[in-house]
Amino acid sequence: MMKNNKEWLDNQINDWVSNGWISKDAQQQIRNACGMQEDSRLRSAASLYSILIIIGLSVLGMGIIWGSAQVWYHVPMAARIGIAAGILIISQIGIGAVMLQERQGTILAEGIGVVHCLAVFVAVAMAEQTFYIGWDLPSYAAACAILCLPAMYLLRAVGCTIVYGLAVLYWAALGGPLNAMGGAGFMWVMVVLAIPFYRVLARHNEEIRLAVFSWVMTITVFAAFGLAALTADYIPFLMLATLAVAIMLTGYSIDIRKAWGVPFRWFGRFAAAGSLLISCMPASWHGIAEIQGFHWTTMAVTVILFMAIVILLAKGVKKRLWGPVVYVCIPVILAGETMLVRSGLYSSVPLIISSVYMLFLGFYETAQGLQPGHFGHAKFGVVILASLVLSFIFGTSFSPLVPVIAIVILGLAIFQIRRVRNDKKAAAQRSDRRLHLKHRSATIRSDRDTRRSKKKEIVPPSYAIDKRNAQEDAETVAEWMKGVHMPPMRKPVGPQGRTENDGTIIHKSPDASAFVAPVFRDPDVTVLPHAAERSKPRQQERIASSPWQSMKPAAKREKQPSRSPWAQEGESKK
Amino acid sequence: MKAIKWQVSPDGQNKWLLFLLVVIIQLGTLAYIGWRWHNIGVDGIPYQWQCVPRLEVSSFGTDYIRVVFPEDTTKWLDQSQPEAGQIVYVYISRDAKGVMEIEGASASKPSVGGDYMNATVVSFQNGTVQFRVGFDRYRIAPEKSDGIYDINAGDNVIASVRMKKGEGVIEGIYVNGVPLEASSSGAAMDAARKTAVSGNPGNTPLDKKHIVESGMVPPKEE
Repeated sequence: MMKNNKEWLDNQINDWVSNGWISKDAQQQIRNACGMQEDSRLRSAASLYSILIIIGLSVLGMGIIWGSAQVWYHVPMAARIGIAAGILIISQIGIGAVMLQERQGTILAEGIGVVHCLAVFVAVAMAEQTFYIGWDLPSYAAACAILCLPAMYLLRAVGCTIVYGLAVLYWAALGGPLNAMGGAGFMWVMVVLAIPFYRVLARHNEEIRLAVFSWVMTITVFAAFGLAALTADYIPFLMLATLAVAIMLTGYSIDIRKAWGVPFRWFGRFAAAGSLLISCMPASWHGIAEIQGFHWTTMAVTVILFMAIVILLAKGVKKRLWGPVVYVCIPVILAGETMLVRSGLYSSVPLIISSVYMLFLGFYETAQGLQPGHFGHAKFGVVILASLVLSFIFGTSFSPLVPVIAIVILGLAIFQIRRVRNDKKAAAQRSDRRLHLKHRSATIRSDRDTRRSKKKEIVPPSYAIDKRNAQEDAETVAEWMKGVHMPPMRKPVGPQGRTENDGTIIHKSPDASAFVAPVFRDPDVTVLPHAAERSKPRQQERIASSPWQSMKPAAKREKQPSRSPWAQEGESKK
Repeated sequence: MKAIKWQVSPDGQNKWLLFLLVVIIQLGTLAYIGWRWHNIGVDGIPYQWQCVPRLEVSSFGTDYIRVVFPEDTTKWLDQSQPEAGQIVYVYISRDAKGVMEIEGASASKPSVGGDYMNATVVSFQNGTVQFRVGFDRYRIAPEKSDGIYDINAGDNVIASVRMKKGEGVIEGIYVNGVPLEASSSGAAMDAARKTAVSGNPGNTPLDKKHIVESGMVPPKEE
């Protein structure tokens, strides 16, 4: 393609946007500047043409399939496998071209990736149907999914992740775990194979793809788990809880402002609460009690997930504590209850413990929702409590009034506790204020001396903080640094012992000195005082004279005696 | 379109190695599927098994017929019960005529020397398992599949199957020892065409060479 047409430029601009070099606004501005605004009429015509092209291609494709089906038997087997290989090779060439152009992580790569996945499915199906020894759909789906997976990494295409997720779900829905090597463990292997792609996207800082990946994989994991559990003899809610908490902690280890952490956190929360809810129903424990033993893959995956929880809680989760800890307790409780049931001590204890913790969880989430900006937690808490009541209605032989009454009582108790706590807090504030408002003359006089003595001992707050920091630093500093003695840095002290760190006083910059350094002159050059007098007699005289010397004396005015307006009054009376 | 950069960055060598590996594995998978089929046909042990052919209906037509094996139940040899959809191993042997005999089914493969075929459990009841084998298609030309209509209830229809490591391939369907294709209208038309060309009226479809020896065909049921 020529590099001087609008199409090429448009492609370039799209690439820049997808690479994150320019923003969408900048893209629009460049388009406006280059006169690339599309006419709406042209656009509608193009859309009409594209619809016609799609319909035409579909009809053509169906015609080709129908025509080839009529002669398909006469196509030799070698030619059939050749066609399958040809389709596959063309799609592989596409991948290679994208890699050569280094256009991974673009729209083009996404398209090529999806086409490659479809090519793999078509090619394998053609080969399997030609050399037929049986049509095992789950095996076919699993094989194709794994064959498609490398394209996801090579092209950095999240479209392949979607195809992969769908293939895994299809495999699980067809009962693939039943006959797979390692049973349900193979499902975990398939899930784990896609996990490193998260690192690839994170390394390239592809936020949109990360968000899509996290949503797709979270939904895939939980949906595949549910589909695999349909064919199981029991509900593996312990494993579900560990999985949910591990995913939730992964979400907590991601920056809360990042969009791709949301599905991990919320789906994990839902699944953990769901597993706890399942454990509130007696039917779920019957399966656990009746099975001969857990499959080794189930136990291995559960242990690995527990280890992941511990690692994430210790290292990954940094900013939150109580939320994660409350949810980490769920798999621990379920593990304890499972051990209790598997030991033959089956009673109502697991149901009661789970129900009580479910109540606590509901109230905890509701209380979280009272904080501004956390209304979702309140909704979730209410849903938890409502689900508990519904589980009592439909899943147990207990009266549904039991959880309702418990919720009401607990709600009232928490409300009362909060009220008492608020009252106490207000009272403490009031008394504190009164203490600071003692301005009677007697107390002022009695405390004056002590206040003065205390004043002398007052240490500037910044220094106090510095001392504490110094102590903390001494604890956390490396051993080799403890031997190094640096002179303490002097801080400029302002009036009333304040320092610059106080932040309230801004010192004036010192005035510039008027001092001028003396200049050394040669004595011969120096002008003597009398010589100086001789050299400037007239000028000195003129300067010494007063500007009023030449002024004429003011003219003397004749004094006029002032006369009162009443001075003539009374003369006529004489 | 962006101009192709024919330079590969040095830090991307692993990427190209991975790509090469992927290409080999993907093409190798296709090759393996073809090789597996041929290998069973060449190295597999031949068996004869009674069957019922059925026409397959499809929107675009098919190049095969469905093959149903009536002998699809046997005793379950294990203690633990099988699940529907589970893949099990059906223990088989052959008599002097090469006819398959089913001995039982288990979740584990037989010991060394015992032959078996992979099957999927359909149902399980009273110690008897109903199963379905994978090789249920026979590739046939569409114009030669109408021989199915000539099969009567009393005819002996057998499938010649080759088995290896539990997998099977149907080599042919024989009705009373005659290939199914030979009794079709397509075959009759071919014969008529050949007669018209060569002028030998004795060359009918029934005179075709039998692939299966007549002694191997089970006696016709009364």
